[in-house]
Amino acid sequence: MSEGRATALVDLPGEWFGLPEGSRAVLEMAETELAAADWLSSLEVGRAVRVSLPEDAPWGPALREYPGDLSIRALTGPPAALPTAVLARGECASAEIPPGQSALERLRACGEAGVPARLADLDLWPGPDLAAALDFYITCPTLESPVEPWHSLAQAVSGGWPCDLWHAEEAVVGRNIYISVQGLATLSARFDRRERWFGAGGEGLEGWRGSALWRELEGYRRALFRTRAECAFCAAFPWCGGFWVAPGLEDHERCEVWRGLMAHLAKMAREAGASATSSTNPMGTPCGRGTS
Amino acid sequence: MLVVVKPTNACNGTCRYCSADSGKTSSPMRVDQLPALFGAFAEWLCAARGDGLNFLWHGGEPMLMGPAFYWHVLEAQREAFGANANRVTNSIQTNLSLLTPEWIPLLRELLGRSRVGTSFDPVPGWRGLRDGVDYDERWLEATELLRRSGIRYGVVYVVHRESLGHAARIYRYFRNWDPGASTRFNPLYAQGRAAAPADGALGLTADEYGEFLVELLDAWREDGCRARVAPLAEWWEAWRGQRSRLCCDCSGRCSDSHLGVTPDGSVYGCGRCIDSGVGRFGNLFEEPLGSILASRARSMMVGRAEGLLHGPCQDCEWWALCGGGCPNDGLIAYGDLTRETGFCAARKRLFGRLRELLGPPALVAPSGESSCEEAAE
Repeated sequence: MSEGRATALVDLPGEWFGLPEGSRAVLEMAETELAAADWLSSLEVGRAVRVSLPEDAPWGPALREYPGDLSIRALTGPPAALPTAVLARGECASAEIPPGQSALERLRACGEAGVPARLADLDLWPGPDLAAALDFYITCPTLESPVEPWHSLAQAVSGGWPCDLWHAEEAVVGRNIYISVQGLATLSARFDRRERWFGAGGEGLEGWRGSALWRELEGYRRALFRTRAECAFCAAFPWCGGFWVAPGLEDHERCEVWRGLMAHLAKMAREAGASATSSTNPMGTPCGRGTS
Repeated sequence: MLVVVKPTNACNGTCRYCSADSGKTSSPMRVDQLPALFGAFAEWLCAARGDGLNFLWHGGEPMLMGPAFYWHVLEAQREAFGANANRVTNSIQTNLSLLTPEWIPLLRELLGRSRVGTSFDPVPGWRGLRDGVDYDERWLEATELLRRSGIRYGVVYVVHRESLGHAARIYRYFRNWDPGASTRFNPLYAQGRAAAPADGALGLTADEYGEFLVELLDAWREDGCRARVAPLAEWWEAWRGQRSRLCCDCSGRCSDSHLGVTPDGSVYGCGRCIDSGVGRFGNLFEEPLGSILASRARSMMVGRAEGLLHGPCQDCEWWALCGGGCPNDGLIAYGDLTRETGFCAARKRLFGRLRELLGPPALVAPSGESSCEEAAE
């Protein structure tokens, strides 16, 4: 996902794909496919569906008129356009901000408009921009809407509730599925970008479970501790879970950046003291979007 | 009262620092001996109004007895304690190597709200299993099973020579694996297999152990005291005037509250006393509990605190937090169960650090007592 992306992400209840209750499945769909499809109106009314749209997507009538619990996540959207996009669905809207030249500007605009924001495609954000985004979240005196993943992680660091990056990024094995526009199933867009898949989308849960990637991810956490990998001893592990050195996705540079950011967040949380632990999460669930 | 029962001395472990391995083998406790075991305590429980009775199943490896043995334990306890059965609790200290899903219903029934105690070492090469089974893999799998099953557990970590300088990393390993599990740090006891290992001394001096505790305290504080760490948390709370359950080795009165029972019914002061083989009080299968509790060996232990307060601990400012330490550490250091702990200097060093951080202690009477032989609550 990047600026100008021509696909939309449709986020559906994971139960539809055989996953346990409360899990989520994300389908990447070509914009034209989404606009043309009347599948949305055929969905079971009352089920939560979220759609993330590219900033220049046509806001199709099918989407606006969907009678179920639908929330829209605008993929960044120029600040001026954002309210138009989200007002159609009222308070269920949030903004996804992919990395890019204007990402920080957009983050500030969301903050000023009171729109909950999420840094999309975290693995593509340059370290300095990540640090600046965290700094904005920590220091902006007028910010009242959450910025994810910082908000969930800040709560976790303060002892409010457990949450690591896997949960914050909705990439938990057995609870999240991502089906790419090519119809390949994997854990999240990050794995799709690195061409690591469970298999074809049509294989279904049983097929995905048998894949090497699924098995690797299932045993990943245990392997870190059995082999005494550095993650097992890391001060930032409770809020990272080895996210940056996942099988086939090793990114030690970003791991180092992340450790610095988490140390900063932990220091700020300690200084904030008890007041941080008692705050509520405007996103409503521990990791922002109900997958934990 | 806490009764440490060792239904078997056998163990499938090969841990380098095992203090329970005396080299002797004996027959495991039989199911038909359970009525006599619990019957001996039934009268005591009736008389001890308000007090509870906790059986800590220890070893050896207690899971070698199999789940069926513990179903018999529950049945025999119901029969022996009758209306007082609700004052009886059970806990277990195990290496978890034999845990399978079949154990889960038994553990739920046996433990109630208590937690499983287990042990692990993030320093590689210290814990092992016979027949080449990977201890670490089994333990990690087993604790995952406990977590999935909603059964709480705590870990005992033995501080040894190779732990030195790594307190913060060891703390973080346990916190990272499961922040909900408590960890109790005990120093290596230089007895059993650890007394004279082929590969040299494994144990610590009191100064070294004190250094480890201070490093651990600093790491724990740096982390916002996030995970439950014993004995630090117990001392920290007591110091700040909060109600705390100090460990048995800090009360100075462990002889009043602990017993240890071997597979053949012999009674000692606790599980550690069984391991050291010193201070036998009697045998439950041969004489009434009353005469065992009144034995000369036990009376000597009960009088230990008075002796210390008039002797080596007389002028010590830390008595309320230390109680002279574990009698078995006195035995190892001085060959005498009634002496103070050989880790006296370690404790003084830690208490000194606590005073730097918190000022003078605001102690209140402890609200109970935990045991060094099981993971912390």
